[in-house]
Amino acid sequence: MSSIPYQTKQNFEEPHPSRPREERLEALTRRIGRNLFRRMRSSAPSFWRLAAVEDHFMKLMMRDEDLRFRMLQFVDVFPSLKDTRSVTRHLEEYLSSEEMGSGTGHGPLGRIASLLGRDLGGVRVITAATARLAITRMANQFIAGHTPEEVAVRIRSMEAGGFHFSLDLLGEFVASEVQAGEFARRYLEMIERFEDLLGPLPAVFADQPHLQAPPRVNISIKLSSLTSRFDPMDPEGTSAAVRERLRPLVRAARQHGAFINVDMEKYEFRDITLQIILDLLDEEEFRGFPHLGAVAQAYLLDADESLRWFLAELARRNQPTTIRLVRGAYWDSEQIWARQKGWPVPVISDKRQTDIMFERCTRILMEAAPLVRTAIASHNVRSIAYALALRKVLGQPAGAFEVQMLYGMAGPIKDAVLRSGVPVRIYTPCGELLPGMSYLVRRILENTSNESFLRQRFSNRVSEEKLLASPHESGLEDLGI
Amino acid sequence: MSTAARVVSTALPPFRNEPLTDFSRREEREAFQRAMADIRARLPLEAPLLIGGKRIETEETIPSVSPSDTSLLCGRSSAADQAAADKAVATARRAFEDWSHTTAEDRAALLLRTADLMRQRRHLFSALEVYEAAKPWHEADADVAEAIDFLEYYAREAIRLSGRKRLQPYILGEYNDLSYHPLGVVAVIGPWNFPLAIPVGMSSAALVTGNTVILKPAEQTPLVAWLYARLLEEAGAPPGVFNFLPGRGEVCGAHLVRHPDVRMIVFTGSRDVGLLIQREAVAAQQEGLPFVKKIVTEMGGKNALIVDSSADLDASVPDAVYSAYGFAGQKCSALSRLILLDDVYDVYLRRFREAVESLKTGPAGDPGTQVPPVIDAEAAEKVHSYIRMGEESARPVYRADVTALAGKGHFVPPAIFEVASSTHRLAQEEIFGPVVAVLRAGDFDEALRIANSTPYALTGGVHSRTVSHLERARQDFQCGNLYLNRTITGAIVARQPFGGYRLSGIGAKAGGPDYLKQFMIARAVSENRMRHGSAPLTERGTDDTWEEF
Repeated sequence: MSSIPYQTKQNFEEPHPSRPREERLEALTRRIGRNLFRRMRSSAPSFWRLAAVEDHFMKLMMRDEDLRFRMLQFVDVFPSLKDTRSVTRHLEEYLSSEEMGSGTGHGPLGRIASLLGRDLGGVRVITAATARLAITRMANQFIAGHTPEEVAVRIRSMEAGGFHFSLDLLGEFVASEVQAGEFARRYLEMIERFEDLLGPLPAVFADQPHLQAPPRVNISIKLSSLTSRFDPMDPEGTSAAVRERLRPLVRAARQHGAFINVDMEKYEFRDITLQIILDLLDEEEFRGFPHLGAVAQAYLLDADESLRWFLAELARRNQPTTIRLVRGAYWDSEQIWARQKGWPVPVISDKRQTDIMFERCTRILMEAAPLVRTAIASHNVRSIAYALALRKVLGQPAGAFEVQMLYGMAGPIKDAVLRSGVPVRIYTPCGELLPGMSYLVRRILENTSNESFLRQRFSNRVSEEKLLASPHESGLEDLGI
Repeated sequence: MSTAARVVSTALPPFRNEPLTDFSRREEREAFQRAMADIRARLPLEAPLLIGGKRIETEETIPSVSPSDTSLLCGRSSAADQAAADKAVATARRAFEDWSHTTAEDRAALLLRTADLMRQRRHLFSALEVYEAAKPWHEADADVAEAIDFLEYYAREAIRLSGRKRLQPYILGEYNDLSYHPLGVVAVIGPWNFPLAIPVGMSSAALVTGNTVILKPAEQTPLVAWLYARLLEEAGAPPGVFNFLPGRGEVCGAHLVRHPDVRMIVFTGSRDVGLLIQREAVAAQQEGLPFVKKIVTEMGGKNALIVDSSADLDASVPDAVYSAYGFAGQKCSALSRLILLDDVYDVYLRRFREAVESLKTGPAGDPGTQVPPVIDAEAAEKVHSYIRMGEESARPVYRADVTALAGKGHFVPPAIFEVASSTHRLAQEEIFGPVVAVLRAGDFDEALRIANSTPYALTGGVHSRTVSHLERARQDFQCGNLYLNRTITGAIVARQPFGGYRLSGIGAKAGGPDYLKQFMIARAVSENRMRHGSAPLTERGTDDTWEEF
């Protein structure tokens, strides 16, 4: 197993390209951003056009931190409640108990009433059925279907609209080898069968070669779902156990022409996840296989260091791949875990610094072309515009990178990006609500967070110019991240 | 006030827990492996007696053998006889004269220096635990971190409790105060399962409150304790204040308990030995002691986890598995009864069994090991006998196959049994091994009744997202440490003061705000300050007073 050479935080200087080039890049970014906004202006994303019930639900969460906490807790327990009686009971308990409250003397139900501008009696009619309806609708908003067949229907229509997909299988937390084997079996089935379920590729891609991004079948997998002993303390043992189940998947991907993207999870798992990818690619059989992808999380303090290290490892092997750049979905959890353990918090606390890191990583990644293909996974128009501008400045062809977004979110942005000539891939979860709950809670957290781009844009009505501003320009010191 | 003491009282930052080592970092793993190699190269170690600052080697020695590999001799300890125990008590008694007159700040400084030294050599302590106690890496690391926590926490606590505190309500002309004072010679009898943290916690609490100490470590783990004794010496503990007395429990341990100059006995270990100490102390009392021997005992548990259908099974199953099988179930806090509500019983038991089937049993030094061997042959035989009993009179759900490891160390198979009644011995007796009894409850009330049906009350847990169930458990679950929606082991100093009642212990909470008071007596002084009708008016409320009383 090769080593991870970086040990301590280093300061990577920004490259020093000529100032005019930087200014051109910034001007181009804004121009492209304005064009994207113009294309979007006609519609609000589906998430912000929800029916009354769940719309109220989400708005309540955004206005009152305590309510947000209580409702998320209720959403979290909901799928395990088997009958209406227990749904009602839990609803009452979560919204009536003063224990969890801030002690203001106003119960949560009273606060809901005043936020909705109704009297308490009107709010008490929030029944189990209403809650069930709201949560089920929210789940359907973010989860494409319970079965591969249901999801295939959705994906066919996405493809007809010119979008690509990456399939994410929701499932139980893997605590046993039985569960890990079950995950591997489901992944394999998807790789082998999903294209048949989809049928022929819609013609939309045939006459737009720059929007093509083969292979068609793209599966996102979590390595921790492939073994019950995913333990960064034991990298060798973990790598061996994971690769045992990963090999048949990669073989099938090669045979059937599918792409396997390795999702990134919590920080503790990052280094070992990247190492396992390299370990597998170092095996004679898989050397040079270009369709095993990785993810970089820009919200990490050492995102750039880690990315440079990984790119150097790929370059050393002359190993092509695609890397998805995300901000990262475990921000709240990472904060809590680190504090409980007394460890340094690994994520950047400040939104603007994260944006700076995202752009820095975009540049590091795009400069690694053509060995590495970049996937910008973001709903942030500025971030996407930056990548588009950078592509032009670097003189890379259309189709040199793709944009990825989540199923059920940011519809108008997806359309706008696609119409600007960039392939768009939609991360599409498939599975039951119960195992999908942690995914759903992450999405709700994201959408109701103050920092959310979508919320800023569509709910808080922050101006386009402000949303397009360079993160370097917000008047604060660059904290040296 | 000495310089060290002034530094302590003026610049002591607030307590914070020592972070665990992040083994996902390559450099930490490599440092730990180096420490293991370092220690391995130095084995076997020798642990002599330490009495009055002098090292004494005895004719008889007790071997300390690695439970993971019985062909590996970790070292030998001397074995104190009754004469050595007498000498240790006499020495400690003499040392008490001076030590009891030092300031709390000076004594706290000793603990803080010891903590610093331990921090510097942290991985060496952990590595020795891996060999001597068969603690897996992260368990060993947590034990050392907890030892550091005890030193840091009790140092601050001793300062907090020191001095005279004027008592309220204030009455003109009357001055009432209260202060705490040390007891005398304290015998500390430690266990092997937390071979550093528990002896360090018990003995440092005694030392920092002004008592002198004789530490008798467990026969299975004298070497880890000896490293601590050397650290205290290096940190400047005056000769005789801390004495180290390895040996056989029935020889020197029993003698210490009966000894008329031993003022207090602090014990953590099995229920049988704890109760024996109680009886022996009472017997010694009958021979005319001029004081009542103080006994603090921390004993076993038969800890239950209740799971209802609103629980998050994804989170619950791994927590339950770790609580039961981490360190092979050899924690007094370990889960040994799983109480499942009817409507979640089948699905939970299946997932629990599958997770237990996936556990890796192996030597403690292998970083992939989840279940290490048990401490010695006697412990292994005890576990095997309960497994045999379960196979005859309960429904076996699972028993791992560990035959591949047979003969190498004291490996026992993780096992699960369904038992029909909470009176079954598997549901009543502490096994101290990787064996779980699963019980079915019709509703939450019945689950609580089952949970409370043993003579123990140490730890317990509830996994539920039903607010009213959690509230019921807070009120009615009989245990010293109740854990809601998390593991039921791994109490952290200051954040989760640890200890049980009933036959689990006397209710002292290690790592909590009341613990040091066990090691002291309180004296109240009332002074009449009125002279012919005049009293100092300025006295009202100006003194140092209790914040909590």
